[in-house]
Amino acid sequence: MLRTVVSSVRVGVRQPMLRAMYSVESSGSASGSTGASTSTSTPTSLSDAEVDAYLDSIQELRQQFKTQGFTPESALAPPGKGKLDLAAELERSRTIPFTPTEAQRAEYDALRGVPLPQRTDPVIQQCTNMIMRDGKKQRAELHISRALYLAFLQTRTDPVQLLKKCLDDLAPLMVVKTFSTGVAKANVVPVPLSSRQRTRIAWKWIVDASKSRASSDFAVRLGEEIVAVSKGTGSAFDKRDQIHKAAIAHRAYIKLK
Amino acid sequence: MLRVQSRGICSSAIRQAGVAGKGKSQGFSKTTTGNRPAPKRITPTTLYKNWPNTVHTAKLNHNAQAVVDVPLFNPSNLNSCIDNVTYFNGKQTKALRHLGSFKKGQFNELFVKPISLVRQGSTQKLLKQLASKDSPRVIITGEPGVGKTSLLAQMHACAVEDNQIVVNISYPELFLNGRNDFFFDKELKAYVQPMYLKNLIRKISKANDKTLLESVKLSKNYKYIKTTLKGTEDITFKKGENTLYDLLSASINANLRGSQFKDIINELYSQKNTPVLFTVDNFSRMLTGAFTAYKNSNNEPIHLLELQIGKTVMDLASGDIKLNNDKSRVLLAISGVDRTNRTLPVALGKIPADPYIERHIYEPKFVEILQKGKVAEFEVPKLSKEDAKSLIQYYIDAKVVSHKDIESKTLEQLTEEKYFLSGNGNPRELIKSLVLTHK
Amino acid sequence: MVVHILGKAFKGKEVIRIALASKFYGIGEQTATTVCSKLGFYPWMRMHQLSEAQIMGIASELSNMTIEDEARAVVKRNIALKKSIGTYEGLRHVLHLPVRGQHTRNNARTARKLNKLDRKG
Repeated sequence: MLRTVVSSVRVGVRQPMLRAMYSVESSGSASGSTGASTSTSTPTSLSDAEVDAYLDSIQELRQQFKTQGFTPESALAPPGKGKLDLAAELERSRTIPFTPTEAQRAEYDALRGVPLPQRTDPVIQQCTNMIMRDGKKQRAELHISRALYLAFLQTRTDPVQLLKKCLDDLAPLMVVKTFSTGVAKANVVPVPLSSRQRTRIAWKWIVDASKSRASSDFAVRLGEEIVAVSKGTGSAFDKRDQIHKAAIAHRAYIKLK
Repeated sequence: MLRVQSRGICSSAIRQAGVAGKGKSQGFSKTTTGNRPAPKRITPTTLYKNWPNTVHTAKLNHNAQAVVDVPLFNPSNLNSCIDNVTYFNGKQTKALRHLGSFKKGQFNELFVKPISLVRQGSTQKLLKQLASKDSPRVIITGEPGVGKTSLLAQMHACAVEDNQIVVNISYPELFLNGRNDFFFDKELKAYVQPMYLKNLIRKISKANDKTLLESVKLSKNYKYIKTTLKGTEDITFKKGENTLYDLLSASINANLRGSQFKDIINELYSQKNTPVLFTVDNFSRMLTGAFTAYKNSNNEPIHLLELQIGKTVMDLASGDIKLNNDKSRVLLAISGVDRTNRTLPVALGKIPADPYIERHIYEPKFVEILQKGKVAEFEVPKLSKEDAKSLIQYYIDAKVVSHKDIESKTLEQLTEEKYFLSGNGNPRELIKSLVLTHK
Repeated sequence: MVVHILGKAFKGKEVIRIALASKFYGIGEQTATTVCSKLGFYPWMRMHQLSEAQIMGIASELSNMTIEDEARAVVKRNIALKKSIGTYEGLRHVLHLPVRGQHTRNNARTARKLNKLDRKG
């Protein structure tokens, strides 16, 4: 009886809250794209009674080992026999195949192609890392959160999407780079930028422009600057336009490989 | 006032902006060459304060999403709004604003009006406890961010609806930190703080209904001698004829303000018809900071009980000032902002008293006061999941929750997640996890 | 409004005890606080809040203490005494060298500048 209970258990957590969270996460990832909720319990969740029974049996075992000592041959023996041949039992259990049920198969297939949900937004992470000093990530996250909160209060739209749009609008698409040829001449070539590079350039401009704002608090200055950029004001747009002009002027030297 | 200053700053900024770094530094001279940054432009719309003050004072709720079908806070019919997010009605809001019940860091700027969740575990339970007359003095405790000040605001609203007189001290720090003037009044034998008292008296007269204050007739004759540039004149109030409102709105010189305040407290607590609700928020500051920043003429620190306002609060807490009306109550709320020490746990009987501990950690006078007044504890519990769900539903209606949180999750799933992130029911952490966590 | 105490000018917005400590030679944080407490000023009182009587009070309190020229004279007297007796410390003052046993191989710049017989104080 003990062995069946032990082998059938996968996760045993006493707090129903955490168990519910686990079930939420699994059902959330399964139904992520559809948007509909599955309120029925998934195959991997247990009822409170089952979990309590598992824990009671663990306590029983513990008592047994305290008083009688750990003797697996007699403890794990089936009800009929007195002793157990461990070596033979091990061989037998190795040969038992694991056959998944239809439900388990379906769950596996459904989740196979689904990517893990990202913990953090990559653009926000990049921006946070750029303002982080001395490895103080939480401080940087606080600045960003507060700045976005202020931006939300002033614009009443989703601040993360607002920031992404601002960065996309502000960032140049290409940049002119000077390459030195062997001789004295320097080749000026327009070079495309990856999205990460673009984000970096645009965010740097925003942070630099925020220095001229009046407030002793960096979060307030940043928030104000983000709102200004979203409205289209800001000196950084001129910088972007200049770079674009330079790229257009040197468009003959673009290398397409 | 700010506009005049900002115009002045603007013109000075323009004047000084042209000054480049001038003068050469020689030898070991300390002055750096022209590294002083140019003064920044400040217009009426620039945000120049730090973050907490900016979000509290910049009127950032002017674009907030209006939510329909929100019930009003109705203490007489609590069952209609229990477990719901409510607004305060106009009369309550006006009183609460004057009392200072809406504080910084409560995220009120997110919504059109400050909201209030009527909880079974806190609002209903406290009202029940206050309705029974065995403990007229209650201290509201709980972990930081759990809703003590919000509960106090609800109690203020209840008192306003019930035609009670409300007196609130929202920050005892203001009369303890040495930033208000003080003098020793020989008749009162206590240190009086005229600037602070003027503010407090003004708040009492503005927060409470004028007709309610005028219904309290004076029980004695009062006379104050007012010295003006033209000479002295007597301000007299007659028993039975003049009212509490006259006493509150009289402009009396600073040297007699202590007497004025003492008389006001006398009048409030000698009459039986109108109940009085006296509340102190951040009471933990008083309990943990027994010695104020003031010094007497021998340069020794002044104890809180030597201040008139401090003594009054402690007299009310100890029951030395009798609450004549059956419905009068004294509510003291602690705060997570202040430091903690052993005074309150000993007073509530949770840990044994140790007379050998230093006074900074354990103040026996305050323990004596709280125990004499039989101050009962009310611990504000954390939110239940249903409470959290109704709060989150309101936040979604007010369009305050981010797109990422709404698009792929139901209300149930979102509640589960954010309830966990809030430490299983801390309201401040709940709203922070929704609105102030961008990762 | 500029306030004058014992010939020194103070801006109106300065905190009294901090301003007294910074402007007067011979008054530091402790004595300034003692003076202000004795006269009944609250810790963060500003110069512009002083009445004439209070200013006179400060002036009279200060005039009873050894500050400014008197305090400087005390320092000069002490150094002169050391020299006249013929102590080692006096000698060091004369030679513009450190008095309290510091190393002189490197780093004696302040002593070279300030340690004189007629020290400014």
